[in-house]
Amino acid sequence: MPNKLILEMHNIHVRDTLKNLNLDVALGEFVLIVGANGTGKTTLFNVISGALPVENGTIILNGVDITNTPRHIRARRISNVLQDPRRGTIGEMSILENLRLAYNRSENDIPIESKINYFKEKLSTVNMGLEDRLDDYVGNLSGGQRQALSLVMATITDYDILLLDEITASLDPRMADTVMTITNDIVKQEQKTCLLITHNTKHIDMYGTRILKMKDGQLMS
Amino acid sequence: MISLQEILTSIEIGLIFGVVAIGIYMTFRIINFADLTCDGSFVLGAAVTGVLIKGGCNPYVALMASCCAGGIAGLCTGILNIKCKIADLLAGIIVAFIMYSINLRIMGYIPNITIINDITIFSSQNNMAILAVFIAIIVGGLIYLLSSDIGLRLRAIGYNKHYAAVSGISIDLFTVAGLILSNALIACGGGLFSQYQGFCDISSGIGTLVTGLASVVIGEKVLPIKKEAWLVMSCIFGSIIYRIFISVALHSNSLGIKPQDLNLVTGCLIVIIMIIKRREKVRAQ
Repeated sequence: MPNKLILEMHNIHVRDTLKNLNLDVALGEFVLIVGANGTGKTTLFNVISGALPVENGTIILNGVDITNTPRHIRARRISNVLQDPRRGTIGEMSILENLRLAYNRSENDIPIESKINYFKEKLSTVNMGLEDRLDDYVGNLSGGQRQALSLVMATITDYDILLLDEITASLDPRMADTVMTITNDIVKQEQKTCLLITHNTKHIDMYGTRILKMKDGQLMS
Repeated sequence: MISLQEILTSIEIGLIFGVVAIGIYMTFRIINFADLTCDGSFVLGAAVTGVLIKGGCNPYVALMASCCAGGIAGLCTGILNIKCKIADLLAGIIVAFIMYSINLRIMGYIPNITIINDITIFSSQNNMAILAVFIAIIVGGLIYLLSSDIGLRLRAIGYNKHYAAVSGISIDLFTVAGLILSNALIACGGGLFSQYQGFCDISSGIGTLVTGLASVVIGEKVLPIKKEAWLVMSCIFGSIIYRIFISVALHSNSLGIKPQDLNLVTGCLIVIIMIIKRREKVRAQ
């Protein structure tokens, strides 16, 4: 029996970028989205996360119609990792403050001591020694460390779907592989649903349960 | 030569304008919103305090009313910016412009109100102690707020609006909250200043932004520590140093500076600090 659908997009139309787009993603799927620049991949993510309103169509997340739900409310169930780790983290704040900020999306609250232990445990999963540097400013971290932190921040609370927008594009090949391995481990371990935009052919071959190609504002297998 | 009494007076005025500087720091640095409402909200605070005290109101209650009035001015700027999509600079200018008429209306169409013979918080003559307690409460409260989860969100929208949105922060709500808090503080400064001087004047808000920014910039230079607690404290230190500097400059007969040259001295001071900061930044790169 197929897994239940976590994301359903029907007849989505946005400007001239997305044209009557349809997409169904089942629970636990790791979907890779490929396609040339300017075909609407990032627009698709912006529509899902609520950064862009749809002109037509409906978006259903985990059985709930979120078409008109504001972005900050959607952020409780939709996690994002952005292409540039400088945009996906706050360099002027410490690692601890960044994690606290990310954790604030959750409606659960736990005492600060338990929070710190939880953050350390999460950070240790990326194997970069960040758990011992909670008070360091994020601006002092390398691009790869920042992207790994960004990934931890995106997955620190419960979520329905994880959107990864070319998360390795600004990293060197070695660090890109490390970040992708970490991503794959987290998604598999937590059995979560994930959409990844990528141009990296190596990653296309290695990861993902389904590959979709974006062309002329529409998705095709 | 400047006397000790004049230095003490400069410190007291510096403490009062330190509250204003914190308000300006809130918008310009924390939420990254170029808010020009302050010239209007400072007079609004002074006018509300002046009128209420003249009417026999408790001076502390009058200050609280000033804070509320300032908060409403900030709310108006926020609504113009967020709901009417007017750019931050213009929204602040419009509200400050409107405030002139509103302030005159509050003051009963009289350009100044004297409260020198009425009971104010400074009637006990122990100005420095009263101001120190006041500043301690405001600074303590703000440091607590900025280190809380709410403060974290406020700071996030100033540092990285894009990430703030991704992390589920309502940018509109927190921008408005920052503007309300900032203008409430500035109006509080206006209320304190009118009580300290014993009068409020419709034109007392001119240059509030520039002097506040000067204090913020000097403070950042004197206490270049990135921790929020120090940054809030730096506004107070910056304001005191600014007032002492101005006082010393105006008392230097050899330089030939007159009180009418205040804006010239202030402007030159800001330019010098900005040049030093710029050079340090270039050297660091």
